[in-house]
Amino acid sequence: MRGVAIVGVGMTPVTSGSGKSLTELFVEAGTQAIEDAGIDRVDSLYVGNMMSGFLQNQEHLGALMATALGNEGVPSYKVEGACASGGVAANAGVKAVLSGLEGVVLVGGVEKMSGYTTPEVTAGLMMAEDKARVGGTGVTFVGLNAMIAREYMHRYKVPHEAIAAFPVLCHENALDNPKAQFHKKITVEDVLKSPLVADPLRLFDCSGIGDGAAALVLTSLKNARKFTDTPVEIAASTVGTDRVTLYQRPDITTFEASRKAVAEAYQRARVKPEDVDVLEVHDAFSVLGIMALEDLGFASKGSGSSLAKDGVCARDGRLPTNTFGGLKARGHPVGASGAYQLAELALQLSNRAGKCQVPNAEVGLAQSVGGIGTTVPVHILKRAGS
Amino acid sequence: MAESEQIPGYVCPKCNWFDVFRTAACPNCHGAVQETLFPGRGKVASFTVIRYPPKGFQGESPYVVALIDIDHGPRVMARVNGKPEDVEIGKQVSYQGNSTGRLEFTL
Repeated sequence: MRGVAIVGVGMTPVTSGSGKSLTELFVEAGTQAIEDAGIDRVDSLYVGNMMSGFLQNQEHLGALMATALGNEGVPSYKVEGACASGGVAANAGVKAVLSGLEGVVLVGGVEKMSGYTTPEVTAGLMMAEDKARVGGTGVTFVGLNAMIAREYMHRYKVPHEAIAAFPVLCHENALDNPKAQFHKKITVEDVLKSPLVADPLRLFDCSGIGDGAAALVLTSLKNARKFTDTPVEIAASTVGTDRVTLYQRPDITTFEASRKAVAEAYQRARVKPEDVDVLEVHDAFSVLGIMALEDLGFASKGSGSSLAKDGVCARDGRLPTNTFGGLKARGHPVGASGAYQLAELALQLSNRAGKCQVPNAEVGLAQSVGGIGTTVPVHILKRAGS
Repeated sequence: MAESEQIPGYVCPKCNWFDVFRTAACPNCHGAVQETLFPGRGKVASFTVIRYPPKGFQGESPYVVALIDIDHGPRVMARVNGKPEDVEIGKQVSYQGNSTGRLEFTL
């Protein structure tokens, strides 16, 4: 039987002002994952991260993290795909296991964003765009997403309050996640009354700035039960990419990279949208959560907000979405977020999600986004049969 | 309004691909590109008002950044000078120039 399984997971809480270094964060998550798998060494390591060079003046994270985890000597890599780095690192690890060259692989992501000024972090996030083309305008990452939001609301005649249902849902779900950055219920009115960041996006449309790390131990499906009684199969791991700059695309209200990655993932996993029991999407901004519901095949263009508004995406709804709070409320330490999604789905599918548990979840889907819809890893996970 | 300047750019004579940014080869057919001029007018496709600028742009905010469809030319991202509340999707804008990699238009 050819396939890859998750046999251990670890996550730090997401916080602003953790006081922990980049290395401490990853060691905390990596140690949890390794202990969860009942092992003390791995054969290789893939760590996702976006901004360590810019914010911490630190690169070479592969060997750095391998050393800090007591795994010096193994092949180790930093994998960078902007805000999707954690998901792309997982994709690299899946390929390593499938190659048969590396038996037990640690994948994950880490980002430390607090302790810097907002203009510094804002400049760092803009490294995901084509600087030569748009850097001179002074546009920000929020600003790019704001242009999408404006066009989306204009074209599909969707009011801001409909889109605001997404952050409201995430904040509700995060109340039950002890590792979430925000434990605060919000209303649509709170979103619409929060300060403008980049019109029309307001503060509560946007994920915050936080520190965090998440890690997973992967091995072959065949060997998975040597490590755990509750392995979770990675039935598909795909990455779609698109032109980097927003204006190079004919339509900014859909992410072709998402559509491409998910189509391939559904085919490989032999799964249809209606089979998905639990969903994790990249809601760095409210409008992205809504667009993801459409691009991944759960709603037609312009109608995604109704799923968030009408309870379909709630944990007790037909399509439980961002069940631990998503990027908005669990937090978005950018290079780690894709790994958090997978760790959370693995907990759901192994019935270990605590108060966030969705009953009888068997199939999960995660979509992460790097840049403005530029690099999109999609993973489909399944509860492994015995 | 005075006749606005034309916008310098590049066109591929083989496949008609165009852009305002120089490139080593046409990304569409890989042929050599030539310099060209686009009309100095366009329409706002979408826009935002930056209220929390990145490092290097503090003191300029709030300012408008927009996607602009140049008439008979490519789409670009640029500053739109003028009052943020006067900018709308579909509004005509005129080219003002390109200083240090920043295309500027006005209402």
